[in-house]
Amino acid sequence: MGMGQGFLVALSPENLYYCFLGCILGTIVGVLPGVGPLAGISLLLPATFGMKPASALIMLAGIYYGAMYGGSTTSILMNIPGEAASVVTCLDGYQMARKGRAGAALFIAAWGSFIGGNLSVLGIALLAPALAQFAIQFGPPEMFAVMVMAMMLVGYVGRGSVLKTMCMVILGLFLGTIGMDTMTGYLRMTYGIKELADGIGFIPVAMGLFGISEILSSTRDTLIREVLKPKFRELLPNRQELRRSWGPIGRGSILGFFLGLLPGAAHIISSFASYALEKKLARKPEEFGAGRIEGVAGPETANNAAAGGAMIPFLSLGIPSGPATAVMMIALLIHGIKPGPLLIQENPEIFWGLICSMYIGNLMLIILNVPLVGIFVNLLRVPFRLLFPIILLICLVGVYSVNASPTELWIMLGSGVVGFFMRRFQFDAAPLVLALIIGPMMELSFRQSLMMMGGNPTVFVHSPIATVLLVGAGLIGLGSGVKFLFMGRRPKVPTEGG
Amino acid sequence: MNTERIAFLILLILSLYGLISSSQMPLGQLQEPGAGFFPLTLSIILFSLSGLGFVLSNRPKAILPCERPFLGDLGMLVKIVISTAMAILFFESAGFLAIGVFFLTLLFFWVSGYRFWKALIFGIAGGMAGWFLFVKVLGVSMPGGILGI
Repeated sequence: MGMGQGFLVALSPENLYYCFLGCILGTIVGVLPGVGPLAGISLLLPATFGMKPASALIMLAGIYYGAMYGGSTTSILMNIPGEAASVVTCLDGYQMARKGRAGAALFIAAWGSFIGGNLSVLGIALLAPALAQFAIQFGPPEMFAVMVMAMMLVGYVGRGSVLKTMCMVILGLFLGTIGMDTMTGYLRMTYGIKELADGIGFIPVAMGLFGISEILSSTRDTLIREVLKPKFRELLPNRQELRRSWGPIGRGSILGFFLGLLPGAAHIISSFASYALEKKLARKPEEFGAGRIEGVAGPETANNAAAGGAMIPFLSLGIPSGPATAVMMIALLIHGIKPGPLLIQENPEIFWGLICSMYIGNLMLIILNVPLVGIFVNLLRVPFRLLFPIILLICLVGVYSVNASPTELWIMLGSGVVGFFMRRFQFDAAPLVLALIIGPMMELSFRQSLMMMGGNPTVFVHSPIATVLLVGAGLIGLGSGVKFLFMGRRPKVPTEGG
Repeated sequence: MNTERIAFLILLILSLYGLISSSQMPLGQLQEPGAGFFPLTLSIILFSLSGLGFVLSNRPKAILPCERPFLGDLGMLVKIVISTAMAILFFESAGFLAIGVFFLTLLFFWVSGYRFWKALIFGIAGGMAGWFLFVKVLGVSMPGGILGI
């Protein structure tokens, strides 16, 4: 089975419908500030229970990369990022809109997203099978080493202070230990609450830390803020804008794809990295922030390419790179399918069907986003003080729909308050959520590894793969330490909104 | 005591809690680590990192321009939290439709500042639309509550 069979799966009427639905919903959640792709995917997770696994994954993936398209609309028209990865698009996109070039900015954002998305899908098709083939050899020591490397990478590339990021990683790993110990059945820190026996669900924590805290952080000014109503004199960019966009789009595709392989908020990091790169390469970097098309083309391409790259660890290793891919993993697990190295061998129709649907989805999205931008503008004209109660209700429904647990609603609210203070203290939530997801797997791999060798800790160096990964993780940790001690703490950057 | 120090102090307290809790769990042996082994290890690491952060956060820090007030609009935050808490408290007993209407009305009136009748109309419209979309169209299972739907 390969691309040919994959297109047969993706082009079935049923899967075309779900791909379209996912793309539309993803664009809408990307447009609405405060509702990230995680909320959209979580909300629709129960609706996928009756679907075929391939269809479920196609729809949920559509929401994920669709949100990257939609996030640029509010950034350009409102100077409010609809999705955290579109924060940097506000800098030049909004300035272009103020100069009457909103249409051009939106077109280039959509076009760059299309190119970046498609190139990253090609990357998945080439890289994922090879990585999966290699990962079949992985046992518990190798899996543990991969996850340690992932956590170290989160600390190194994360935004803000290295020390704060690592604290969030360790805290997330610790929170992941709450619940029943899978090996001994011992209940850890549950305090008699039976719902906690399964652990703290990452969905309520993520919805709270990203979605609820975003709303709690709104001020009265934000609530009554109205959207600008620019005139779209020209929807298409002029020749010069098109010419200047090709370089950033090409660079953003490559940069975004490889950054997307990294765990954590890679789609956000990729947009910032692309902006920084374009500014560095520009002849007149001082013009950035005043309406440069490169400041829109590069980041928007990069975040879509990163969304594709993020699928690789999830599909080929079974390690989600972020909350959204973790929910997609849950969707597959509910259908009795375990993502990982054997996914391509045992369920090729799911893997290749998803890859091919992403090509189709990217095509749908550029068709939706360019001519239908007027419809999305109308959505943005709804005042935020009217929208945010609906967003809160969506969050409640999204969390309750997964396990029908009021305890998880309380966890979500508590996480929202914690997330509010985390934003104030400049702590990033993404590392905590990722560690919460990976923590249980990491602990299990660690304990299984020790049991394999009768408690001998050298089990990790008996495997060359694990040794290399752990040495790499150590070097990254060392690099983080050097960076922290000698180069000072990193400047403040915006934290993720979902 | 700056805000960063307070944050690291909170983490220190959390790590101490983790140390105490996990040391009371069975730690097992190296060939078969117990339930408390991993949380204890993590607590020690968190204690070290947050302690380092607490010590280092005493360094003078440049205040960035346009840095917003620490707590921002606290009144609005409290109102949203109270409204959401009330919705969660009665979510299963009252049912999704009833709570949806009540929750939205309360937020529109109390937080968004709409007049009561406008808030009520929005609340009823939003609640019913949400019920129809999530329960009827998407088939998401929500509590029926007092209305039984």
